[in-house]
Amino acid sequence: MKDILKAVRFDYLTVAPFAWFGVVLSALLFGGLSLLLAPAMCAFLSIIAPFFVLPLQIVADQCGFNKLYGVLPVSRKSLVRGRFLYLFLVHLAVQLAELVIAGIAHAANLYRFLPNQESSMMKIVGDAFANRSFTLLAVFGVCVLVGICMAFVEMMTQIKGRESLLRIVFLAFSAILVTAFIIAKLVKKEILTLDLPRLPSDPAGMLLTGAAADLVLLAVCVICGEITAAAMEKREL
Amino acid sequence: MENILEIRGLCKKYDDFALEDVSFSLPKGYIMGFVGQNGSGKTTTIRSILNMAKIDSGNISVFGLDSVTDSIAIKERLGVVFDSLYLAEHLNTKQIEQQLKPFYKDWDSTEFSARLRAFDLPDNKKVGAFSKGMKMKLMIAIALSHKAELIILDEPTSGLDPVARDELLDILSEYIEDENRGVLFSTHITADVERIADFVTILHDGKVWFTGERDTLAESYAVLKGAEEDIPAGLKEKLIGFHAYRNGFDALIHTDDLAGLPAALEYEKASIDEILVYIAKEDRYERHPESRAV
Repeated sequence: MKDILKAVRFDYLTVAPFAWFGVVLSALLFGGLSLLLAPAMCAFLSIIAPFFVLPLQIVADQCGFNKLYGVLPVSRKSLVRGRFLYLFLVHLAVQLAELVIAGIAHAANLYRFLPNQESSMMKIVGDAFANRSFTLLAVFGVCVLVGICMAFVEMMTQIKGRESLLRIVFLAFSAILVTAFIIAKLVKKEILTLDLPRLPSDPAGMLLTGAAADLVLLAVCVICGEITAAAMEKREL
Repeated sequence: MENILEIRGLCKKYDDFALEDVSFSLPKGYIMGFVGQNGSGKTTTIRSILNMAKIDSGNISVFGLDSVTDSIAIKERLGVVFDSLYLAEHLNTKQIEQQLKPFYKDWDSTEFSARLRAFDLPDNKKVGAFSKGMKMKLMIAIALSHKAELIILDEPTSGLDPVARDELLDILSEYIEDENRGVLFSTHITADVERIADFVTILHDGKVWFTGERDTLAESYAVLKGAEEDIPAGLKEKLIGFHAYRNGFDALIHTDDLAGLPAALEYEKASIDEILVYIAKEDRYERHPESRAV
């Protein structure tokens, strides 16, 4: 485990010098919108996570990290597992930041100081501030979804190579669209009935559901990490 | 003498190249020059030592430990300098230290800072902006900061200016003053080997052509010149890299075969450079008479 944590730290220090610029910009933009217009908009802060993950493979390719991986006294498996744990922790940190911003937004209700309080637009804004469950759904939903996508992209690009990224994303996106289209058709023709679980309407229940979603993300990261580690261990550096 | 590095019967096959039965050893307290043409297998051997390449057969022992099963323990005590920097080029030396420090039990920050100062390396400049010589020195500073007992250098002097090369060789000479250390120095610049190496291993076409003390190599081969018709019967087959010109020939000869040569044939001590050239010529010209008519 120690080696995995060393790898997490290594990855963070590799991207930290340029990732924080994107964090500050995103935080100003979506944090501001979240505080003033709709707390749920803090979910867009999830775009910060890729700033901390995507550059890692680019840096590794450009700087010849394959040689470094061969020199460091740590196994290739630990480095790969560390990458996926790092990916999970980045999403968890972003999610916590989003929850803090959402909490402040709901507590402060700053929209009250905006002009034209009687307009229909401001009524929608008011409703957004009143619905805490929707904010939590947005925060957990977007963050976990982005995390799962990132874990998949990380796994595929490590195994197949970064040059295959566009092809991988296109194939994955197409597969999702086709599956959704087929399911929609089957439901419409009453061949298939979807009995989706209802999400809790109270914030406490939403928090529990969100925590469960985080566990799903952790499981996806572990599975993708193990598949990638097994593939990379066989490969020569 | 206790060996710090020992390779026995190393075989590694690729589609277009193979290392065949590579065996050599480096005793503690010495520098070994690891020479050969480009593509002779030097880097593959080094990658095998580092467990970056999976060997087909054979055995590599570093500090008496197995290079495959004890790879992590070996790398704790090993410093590696490649021909190009393998660190994040957008970071400065302080940030690089923060990255690498946790991986080594014996990392000494004071030593790292002292080495940076001694090598004139700035700690606030991105390492990607360093000159090639500075990058080499940074990799050596890292190796010395975790108290590496064996330094492996893969073509470190290629592309370096003479001053930087001289500095690097001085650093290695100073490093080896501790008799518990060793240096494996892969290069095709043989002047560097002649200057600092105690032992030499010549790799040719994936096989060890010579391994032993540098002085033994120097005493073992000579360059023979003269007219082709003066070559005694039976000697021609023993010549290495025989090359006939319009006015004569030249070839490498083992000094054991010099006895009884006619006075018309001249010979002189062969440098490592010349030995490498004649080994290559052996492949190109020997046993192909039509090629000799250059």
